[in-house]
Amino acid sequence: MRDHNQLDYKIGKLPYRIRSILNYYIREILQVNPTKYIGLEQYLACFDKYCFIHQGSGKFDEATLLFSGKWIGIVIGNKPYLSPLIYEEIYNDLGEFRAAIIVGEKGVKNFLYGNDILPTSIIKEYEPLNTIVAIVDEKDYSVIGVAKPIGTNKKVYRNIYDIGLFLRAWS
Amino acid sequence: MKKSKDRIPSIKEIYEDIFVRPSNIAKNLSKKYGYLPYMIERYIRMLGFNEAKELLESFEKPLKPVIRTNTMLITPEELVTRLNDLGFKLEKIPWAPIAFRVVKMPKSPTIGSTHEYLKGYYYIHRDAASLVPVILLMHNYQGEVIDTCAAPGGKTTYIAQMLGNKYYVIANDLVLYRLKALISHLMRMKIKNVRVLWSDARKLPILLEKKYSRVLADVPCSGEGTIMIDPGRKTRTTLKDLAKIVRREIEILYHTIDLLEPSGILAYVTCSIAPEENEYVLNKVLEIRDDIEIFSPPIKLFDWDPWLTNYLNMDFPSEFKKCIRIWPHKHRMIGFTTCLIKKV
Repeated sequence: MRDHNQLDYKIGKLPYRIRSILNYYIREILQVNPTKYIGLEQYLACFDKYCFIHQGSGKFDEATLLFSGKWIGIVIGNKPYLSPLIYEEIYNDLGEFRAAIIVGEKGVKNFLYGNDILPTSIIKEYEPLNTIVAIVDEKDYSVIGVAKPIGTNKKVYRNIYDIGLFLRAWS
Repeated sequence: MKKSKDRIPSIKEIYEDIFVRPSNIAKNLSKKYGYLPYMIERYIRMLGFNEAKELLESFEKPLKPVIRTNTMLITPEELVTRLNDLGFKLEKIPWAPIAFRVVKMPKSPTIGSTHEYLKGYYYIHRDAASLVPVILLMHNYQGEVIDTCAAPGGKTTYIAQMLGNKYYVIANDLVLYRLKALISHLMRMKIKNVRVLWSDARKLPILLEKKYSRVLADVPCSGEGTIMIDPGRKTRTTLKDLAKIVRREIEILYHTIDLLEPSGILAYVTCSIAPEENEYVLNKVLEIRDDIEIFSPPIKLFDWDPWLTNYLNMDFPSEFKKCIRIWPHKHRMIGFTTCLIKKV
């Protein structure tokens, strides 16, 4: 749909296929119960090219509900990725990182400009690493985005999304 | 058409009520400062010539933004240290310990592009004044809140933070691109307790079943208190435009009161110093509703001014002294008003 402000938007339930990918990642890679962190039902709110996964849309009584509760993740190229909030909740509960790369100051800065993580920026790695990983700022251990390993030795991590999108998508 | 005291007045009736003819003095000042003459005439009538000039001078001085710590993610002390390290100089807001005015900024980064901002550690307000209605409305309160004209989300995120994810905030707005901005702040600041609705605030009482103990009505206004931030407002709103805005403000206030449960409190808020958008609006709503009363602010944050009790040929209830006016020339903030209204 397109509103009179010329902003494309779409809301609705998260498709089953995408939900399954998300559940699989949380259960098999992060090894926690997905329901505890993302609930049983997830919804999509899309504005222009960005689609965000959250906890409720449709109707709230008779009003149009666009977004509700936690930011669960983002859909890019028809694939879902967890939000920093969900990663941090899981890491806090576990008391350890999983599928995560701790990155130093220079790497953080580059990553937040949309660049990839190079081996020289990596402070520490937490298995498994042959999958989507959370990028963690060494300064305060906050998650600043997600990446995936590329290349033959898998030591470079390609930026999938980072929190710099709050500037890029809303400028 | 005969005027009625039991219905919302028409735009034409409002225009007749608020019409003011500018004097030569007002015309001269309006030329000097670049305003529409009727605006200056009103400032002179409200404040007298000398104070009106002080107000006009204060609108010429840009205001520095204010940041509010997201205390769910970081302490104010830690945030200040980190921003100081980046070259920012912050000044405490005495009555809001988690907020700071950004008095000095480095060339890079801007206050809206630091890593701390992207991580959701703070919200950038145009000014501290917008914290006032939230502090007053939420004083000693925990429970659900509805913010009827919520985007871009400064007050919603503050309320959500005060509720610490224990209760939901219902955040509604009519303008989709502004709601997109609100949602971005919720995600960035990792706020979990907000439901975002896209509706006309005037229709909310028929769209929602629940009644609320706290309602925030920060109505879309002329922005006549924010001229130092947006000088275009010196000439943007003609008196006819103002009548249309006032009509919408009366409608929103009149209808959003229906969202209140008995003894519930609504904060009516504008970033306008126009008496037409404040005293006149509430007076009209009081004429057509007999189920509300003005509620005194539960705490005094600083030495704010009361609402006017008369303007042009209109007398307003003496209870309007309980309502709050913030003047740029007196309080060094944007022009801003709020009034607490209780459902009886």
